[in-house]
Amino acid sequence: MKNKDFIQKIQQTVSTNGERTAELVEMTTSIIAKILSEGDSLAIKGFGTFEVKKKEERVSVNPATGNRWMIPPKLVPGFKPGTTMKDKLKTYSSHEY
Amino acid sequence: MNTKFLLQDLIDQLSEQGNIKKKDAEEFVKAFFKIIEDALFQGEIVKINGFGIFKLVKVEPRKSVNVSTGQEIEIKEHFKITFTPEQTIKELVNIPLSHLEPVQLDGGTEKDSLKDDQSDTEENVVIEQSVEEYISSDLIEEHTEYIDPQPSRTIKSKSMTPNERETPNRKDSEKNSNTDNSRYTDNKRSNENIPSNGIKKPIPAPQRPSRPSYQKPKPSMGNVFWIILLVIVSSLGIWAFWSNREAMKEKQRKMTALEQFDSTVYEEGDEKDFDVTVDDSLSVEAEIAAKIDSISKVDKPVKHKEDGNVKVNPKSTVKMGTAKQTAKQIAKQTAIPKVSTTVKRKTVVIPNTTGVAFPLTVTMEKGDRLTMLALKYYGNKVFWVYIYAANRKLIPNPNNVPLGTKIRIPSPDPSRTDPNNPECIFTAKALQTKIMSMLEN
Repeated sequence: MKNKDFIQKIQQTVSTNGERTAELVEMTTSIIAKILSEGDSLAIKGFGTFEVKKKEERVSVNPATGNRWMIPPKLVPGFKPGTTMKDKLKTYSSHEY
Repeated sequence: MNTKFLLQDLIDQLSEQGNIKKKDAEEFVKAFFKIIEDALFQGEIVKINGFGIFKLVKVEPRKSVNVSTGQEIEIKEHFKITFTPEQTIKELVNIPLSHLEPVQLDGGTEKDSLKDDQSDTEENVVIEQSVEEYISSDLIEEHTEYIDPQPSRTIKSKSMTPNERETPNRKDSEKNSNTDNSRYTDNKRSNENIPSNGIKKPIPAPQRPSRPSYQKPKPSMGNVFWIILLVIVSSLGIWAFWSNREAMKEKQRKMTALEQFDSTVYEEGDEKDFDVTVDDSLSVEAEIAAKIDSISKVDKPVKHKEDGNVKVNPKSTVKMGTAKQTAKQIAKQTAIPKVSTTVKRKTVVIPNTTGVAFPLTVTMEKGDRLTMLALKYYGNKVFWVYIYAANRKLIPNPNNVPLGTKIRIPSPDPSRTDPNNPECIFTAKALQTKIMSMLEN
């Protein structure tokens, strides 16, 4: 599902026009991005948690040249599904197979 | 930082920014996540522009062991949700650490230069390499031995006056090395007087146990060689300062190996008096090593260095003329960036929050710790390493400083002890790890 389809679906559920929906979607994502960029986390009940994780520094080797590089630590946004979501995932897999 | 926002906060912010009713905002946000969820469970990939991609990923079945019973169990095939954030979000989140960049470690340099070996500037590269390694280890040495970077710089640049912040107990040793160094320079100058035919003679390439290589020099490449060398040395200087503790450890290992090698060379010299041609190469090595030793003030008996100098007989000195020039030139070149840093350090006015005149002396009292002193004077505990470095002779064990020890606290240096600069903290931490590992051994 592309961004367009997603906006269309929201539009069907919530009665707003297309442009406004796209605007709101953008706003929502930017709010989440802002929360994450400040190092905070956002927990959505029934869905999951958006949070920032720190990846530690490491040494990586380029297999082609054998050069060793020191990769600095970095902060990455991450998502952890909530409990209801996890339960759904369990039933989902048993459904399919 | 680390505040946990909830759905309600998102709704509040959205209604505020989007200028819509809270009820509508709630409805919208709930629909937003519901649709993602629904689409995921229909096996779709959800892509939201400016945010990221949600995906369901199949996890293959795998065997595992029940931790409490030790029984083997099979984890069934299942699905998990992955969220791949878009690059813009990633960059936004990583802003606090975005100034850090990958650094190539020394292990790579060797391979690089080995590749260069095949090019037609072979001999230059080889000499360059070996000297480069010495220099880099020299740099590392300086980097780690934060004790008094000034004296070694002073000696290198030869024009600088001994730093006033020098501790008295170190001054003696400095004098020694200074005289040693000057004698050395004289020796070298006399060699420099020998005209360019010195270059035309085959230079016995420094013999490293790992890399045996002898090449013929090409005088026409001289200029290019120096330019390349200057670039390499200056870049080395930069990365050496920021290279991590791993690099330091490795360098240290190299250094110790080098020192051992040196001492064996000197011992051999005692017996054979450097007559054989093979010894020439060794003596070149010894020369350069001794030169660098005297520069970086490795805690080695001064006698050894003198022996090394005296033992070089005229024949070999002629041959070594170019090699010596190499060493000298390199010493000069390396001195350039250092002088600038020293100047920088001197000119920068240090904002002193506590209003204390530095360098100051503190007597250790009950309950005092190096880390607490660092926190008090520099603003971060991790900078204790610099206090320790300045008082290394007084403190055998930084974890247990005897009461009444008079400790000198060097002036805070904005390029090193800036508590707001993550790079400073990073360097100090690397240093801390090194000191700790040294103490353990």
